Amino acid sequence: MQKKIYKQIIIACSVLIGINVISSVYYARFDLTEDSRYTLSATTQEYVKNLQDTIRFSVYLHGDLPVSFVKMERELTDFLKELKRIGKEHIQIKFFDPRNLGSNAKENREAFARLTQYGLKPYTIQEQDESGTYVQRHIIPGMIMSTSERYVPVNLFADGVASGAEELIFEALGRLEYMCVKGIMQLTTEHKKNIAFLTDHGELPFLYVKDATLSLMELYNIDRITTPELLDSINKYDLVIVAKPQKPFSDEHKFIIDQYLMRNGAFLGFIDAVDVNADTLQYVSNVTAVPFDLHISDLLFHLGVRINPTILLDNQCAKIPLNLAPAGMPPNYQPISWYYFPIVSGTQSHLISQRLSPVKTEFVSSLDTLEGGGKLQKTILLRSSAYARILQAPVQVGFSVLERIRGDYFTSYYVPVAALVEGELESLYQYRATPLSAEQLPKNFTTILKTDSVKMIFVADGDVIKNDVSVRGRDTIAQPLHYYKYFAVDKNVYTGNKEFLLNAVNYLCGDTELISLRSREVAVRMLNRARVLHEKSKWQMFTILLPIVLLGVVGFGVILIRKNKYKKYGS
Amino acid sequence: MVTLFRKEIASFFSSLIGYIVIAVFLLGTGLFLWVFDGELNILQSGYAGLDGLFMIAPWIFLFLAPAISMRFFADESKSGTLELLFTFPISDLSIVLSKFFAGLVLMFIALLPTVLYFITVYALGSPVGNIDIAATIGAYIGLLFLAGVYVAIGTFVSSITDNQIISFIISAALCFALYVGFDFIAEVFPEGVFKRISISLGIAQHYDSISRGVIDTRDIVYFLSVISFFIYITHISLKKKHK
Repeated sequence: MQKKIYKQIIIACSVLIGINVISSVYYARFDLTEDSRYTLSATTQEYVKNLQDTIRFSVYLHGDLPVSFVKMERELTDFLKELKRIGKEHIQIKFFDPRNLGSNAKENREAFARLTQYGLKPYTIQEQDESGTYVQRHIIPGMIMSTSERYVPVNLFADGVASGAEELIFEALGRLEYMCVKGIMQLTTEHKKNIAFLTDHGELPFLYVKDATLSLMELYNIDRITTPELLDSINKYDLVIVAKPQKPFSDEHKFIIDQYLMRNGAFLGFIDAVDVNADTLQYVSNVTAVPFDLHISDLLFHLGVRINPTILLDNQCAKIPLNLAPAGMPPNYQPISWYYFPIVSGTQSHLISQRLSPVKTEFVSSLDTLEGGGKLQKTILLRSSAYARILQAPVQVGFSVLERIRGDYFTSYYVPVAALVEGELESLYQYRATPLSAEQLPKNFTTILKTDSVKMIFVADGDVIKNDVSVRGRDTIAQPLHYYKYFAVDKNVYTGNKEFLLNAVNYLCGDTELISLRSREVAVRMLNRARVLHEKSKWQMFTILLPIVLLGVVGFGVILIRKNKYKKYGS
Repeated sequence: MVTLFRKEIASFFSSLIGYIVIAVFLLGTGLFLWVFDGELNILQSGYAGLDGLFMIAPWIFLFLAPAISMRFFADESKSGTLELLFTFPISDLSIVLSKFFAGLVLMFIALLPTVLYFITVYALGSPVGNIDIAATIGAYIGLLFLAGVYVAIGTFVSSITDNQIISFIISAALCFALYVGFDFIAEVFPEGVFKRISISLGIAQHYDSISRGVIDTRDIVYFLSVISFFIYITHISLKKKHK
């Protein structure tokens, strides 16, 4: 008898285990969350499924953490578990408490210091200790992703943006998937794509494109080369960037760029059409903006765009401090709208510019795309607000403009300032003599006259890619791209510039999937803080007393029903 | 079967213990979620979601489910009414099922007032109504499956003892073991197959996933398997008493 029971139980167990094993093969998964946040995008799944190496995630956001960070850790864990579910043994996850990495206090400190050397950035929080005094503590909102050969530090918090922990967490959770896929790409890409910054037309020096360069270096090789060097290794580069040229392009250089484009090249140009010496505005009230002659209009015209010698003023603009105190009085700086620094926005017409944060420009020009000219397809990426005005250069630039501005001043609307051009292209030199003689060209060089696909982006302002440089004593420090020197009065952080740059470069280099991951939105739902503060006790009553009262009512009801029943039986 | 089911629910509400059990559940959950400082406090966290409820409920259920199910068979076999039950023209399985479903419905009734929590978060959201309704419903479904497992365990334990207190303690312990015990065992194993199997045997992994609003057929199959297993062995244990 006893034996028979055990036998039955064992059979039942095996049947159930069998069902579970079958169900683990044939299953369906329904993500009920409104934004499908627990579902990895198809791109990510593809990446993780096809992993050859084992990727190890060492997470340092662990240990005794404040509440909001515990929540962040949980979301991070959930996300990594989901990666592991798909990547199986190719994904390994380990958690470390950064305060307990060694066996004693000294070792702990050393281990912590090592983490920062690896590139992890600590975040400082204020905490109350037992005696009630506030102490500072460092936590590490990041992880190290590694294979057996390489590692990349992944800092989950966006750097430099001044905001509270909650906002940083909010942002970090939205970017998790992008950060991880970028990390996997960094670890597993054997041959990085090559990007060249041209340097021989007075383009921005390294220090002024430092943030852009460093951001791009995570995924690409970056070289700074001259145009003749481009000719020597014309097949090497996947993208050429021209950042704010100041000197004319010679015919030879235009030919080299043309031939580079003919070899399925991609091009990103941040080009000023107007020269404004804005620095002198600090000393004089007006300067004259004059058209730049870069000798590049014919090439641009051929490529389907025209950057007009104009200055765009926009009602939606950055602010600068202006001293309103009369002469001789102590300075009184007030923020004023500086219409010369328009804040432009992305259009909905392309992946690059959808969901883009606003982009800050300085003395931007208007840009036209040209009809005809073959089989080029043009898409406007950035444009002004609905209240803009275009001034033809040469024109006076200065504070006096501000006095002239009335309600009806802004007569233009949605003026394009950046465009994507792609498609079939014929060489500019198809019917022209090549400016370089055969001896000047490398051996085996053939002039190509037609290409099926070029991808080019033109921005009518060189400052979009330029980071500020501040001087501290003898040091010059490159600021991040989102930093604006008048933040104190402007109160805005312009993350859109770097987003635009990365989107543009990812697109031009064919890494489109990164764009959609980067701009994927995850809604973090918040309570109304003010109402929570004011109505706290009301809702506490509602949630704690009301259920008990309801229960009491039900109990009372049951008693009444019973009494009635008994009455019925009694009579 | 329906009669038996109704009798079970009615007898729960006719005793003061039933009300006390539910009141303690509601009070405990409420205080943790809305008053006490800490990770679970919804007002402090500032997030518009009921995550705290779904985190704490498995722990509070550890006492609620055994408290509901402890009397099921323990009481009957002590007072001898079990013998009487056997003489009814219904199968043993029907007896087990009616007790199980009565327990599940009682858990559901206990859970019902937490809809007020949902209303609160709905009203306090910024903007109003800023709560993921579908995900919350999914999490509630997960909670019901969890309650099902606990009640099934409780029903079984109640069938092997005739002491309510012992029934309560053993089923609470067994629920706890099934909820997180396998995770503890998994700690012992290094990264690998055994670790994965061990974790997937426990409730925690399946419940965690479903409580976020992700409904996975594998988790559902797991819950249903565990429930059927315990109902089956309750059935066997009852049969044995029958003989």
